[in-house]
Amino acid sequence: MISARFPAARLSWARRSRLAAGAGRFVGVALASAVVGSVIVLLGGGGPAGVFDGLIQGSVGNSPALVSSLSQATPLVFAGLSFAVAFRAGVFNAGGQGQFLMGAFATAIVGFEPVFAGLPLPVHLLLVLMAGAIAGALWAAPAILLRIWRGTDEILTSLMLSYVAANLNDWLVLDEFRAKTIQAGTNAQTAVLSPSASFPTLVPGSSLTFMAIVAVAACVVATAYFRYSTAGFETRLVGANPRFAVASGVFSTRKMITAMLASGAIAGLGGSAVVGGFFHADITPFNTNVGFNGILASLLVGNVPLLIPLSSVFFGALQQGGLGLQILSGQSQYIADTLTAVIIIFVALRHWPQRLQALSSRSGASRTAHWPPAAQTSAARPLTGAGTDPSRTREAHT
Amino acid sequence: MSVLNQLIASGLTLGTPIVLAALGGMFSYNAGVFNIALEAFMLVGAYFSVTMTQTLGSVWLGVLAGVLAAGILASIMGVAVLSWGADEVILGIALNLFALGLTSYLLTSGSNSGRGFIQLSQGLPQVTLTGLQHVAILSGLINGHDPVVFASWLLAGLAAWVIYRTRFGLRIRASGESDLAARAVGVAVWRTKMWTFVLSGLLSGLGGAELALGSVHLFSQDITAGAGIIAFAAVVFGGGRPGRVIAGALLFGFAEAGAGVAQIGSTVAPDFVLMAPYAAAIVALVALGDRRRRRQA
Repeated sequence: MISARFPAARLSWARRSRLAAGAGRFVGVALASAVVGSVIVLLGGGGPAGVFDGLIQGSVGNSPALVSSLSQATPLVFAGLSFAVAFRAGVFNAGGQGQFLMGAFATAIVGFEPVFAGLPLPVHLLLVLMAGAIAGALWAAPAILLRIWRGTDEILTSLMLSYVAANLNDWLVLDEFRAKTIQAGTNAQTAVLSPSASFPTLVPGSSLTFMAIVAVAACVVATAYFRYSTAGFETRLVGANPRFAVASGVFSTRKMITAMLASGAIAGLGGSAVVGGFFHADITPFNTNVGFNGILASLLVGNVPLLIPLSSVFFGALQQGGLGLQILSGQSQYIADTLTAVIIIFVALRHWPQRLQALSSRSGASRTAHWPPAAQTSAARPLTGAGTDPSRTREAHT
Repeated sequence: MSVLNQLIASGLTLGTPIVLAALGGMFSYNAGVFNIALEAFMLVGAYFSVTMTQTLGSVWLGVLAGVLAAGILASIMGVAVLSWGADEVILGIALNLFALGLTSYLLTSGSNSGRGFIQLSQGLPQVTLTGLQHVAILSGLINGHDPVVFASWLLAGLAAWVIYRTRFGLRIRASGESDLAARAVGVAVWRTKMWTFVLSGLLSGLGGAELALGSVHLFSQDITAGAGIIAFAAVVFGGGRPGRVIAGALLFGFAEAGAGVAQIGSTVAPDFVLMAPYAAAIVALVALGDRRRRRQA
């Protein structure tokens, strides 16, 4: 396998076609999802045209809606980048949701603690963001350490830790840090951020904070790191082909640990963004699946950091469109969540055009041709995207 | 006494859906598939069992519809994973979000809009043996439960038997150990794994139906609230071994019931009981040394 895919050659191939492949998938998947989405809308007794129109009106129909869409996208960028960063190092961080929650909690704590109140705004904000990042990184640490020490699958541990985090957040907010005043009909929450930690907004009165800029900047930094730094290249090598990395002497578990901690920190910043932009406190139950949706946002563009803002804006707009749909025309907002999931289901199908081809030619071998995945031929590569080695099941689907 | 009785009764009520889904997940696990979409199957099973009961006017037809709906979703997942190269974890996460979105959407659109739930006038019939009312433990174990609870005991034994004592079970385990080795000795790996997907869907769907129709007789948004994930945790906790998986699933069900009982005037925050299944799964993964290994080709 190694000889056929000399990594240096592949990475350069990857560099050229990554953007094109990501953009191509975007269009194809959107069309397929629109069809399935229409069917679901019909099942629910609605009219697809009206629903899609409502989604568009609600998300980009006017400038306040557009701003809201961008605010929705901001945490998704962090969550998506979080997944992509770990993924580049061959680490599957399925626990972004937990790291996101812990980041949100730490942000709120440092944000409202009277000890910090009265600090200059930039200083306090920096502390708040650091708290979010550190909490996220700490919550990511066990999964990667257990993988390295004990060979435990980090997918499962990080995923399980997400649910531990959800319950922990519930306990912390309800029992330990609940604000004295709770209005009826709202979620329980901590005290609100003190004025010295209130996130500056880009558009006054909106939820769009400076974190949107931080998010995009983070994507640019990540891209630059992976493309132009030696350490970034080596990290990619570890992720793309561990055996080659070992052979060329650049393999180190430290790179995986670093990537996972960075991944957790970025997810934690996503928590900061939600707390700073929307709730101004930590709440429970935290009914947003930002951490999980981030995985979807990253996958949609083949885990390419530079494209994650695009997919995040798309998913953010979809979410906002759902809210708009509900408010404007009284139709259920949940079509947005459904569509988001449908889209990613299509994205997850690694080589379905090939499969359809096989079906139409109806050769007897078509069923087994794709099993086991190791038998993938290079013909599947245009869809498998870049920077991955199709011989590895786990990493091969981008 | 009444507390113990209450614990047994509500432990069984909460535990049975988890046991059923865990049985389904166990088939997948033994076939080498991490199936976290159990949550999605349960949710879909719960939704369609309730709405179809409403439409068809029969609880049992409703249960059947829920089970079939979940089975269909699982089959789609199976084809996507086995033939179309989807990653089961990613697809699982996506399906969980899909099921949540779909059922929420169908629940709040069309004729149901404006209401957060669908309430049925009656659900599954409850078994009451009058002779047992004086034997507290047996009464808690049997009285007031519906037939699906007892069916789950049968299914549990059946699942264990299938996995360890039948040719089909052997093929499942062989596929889970090594696709290539299994193929080499003539096991139809694709078909075998596909069956485990279907079984996981059917069993989880039954779990979802039981959850919705067993005691509460309603469907509300996100009614499973992670029960499928807990079932998956039980599967991981038990390392795919039937006895341990069932014990884990029951343990988690009882823990949840205990959390409910403890909530009324106790010092232990229920949140810690609720996070226990996930923590236990992690501990088991570490302690068992991840028997399943990393799935690399």
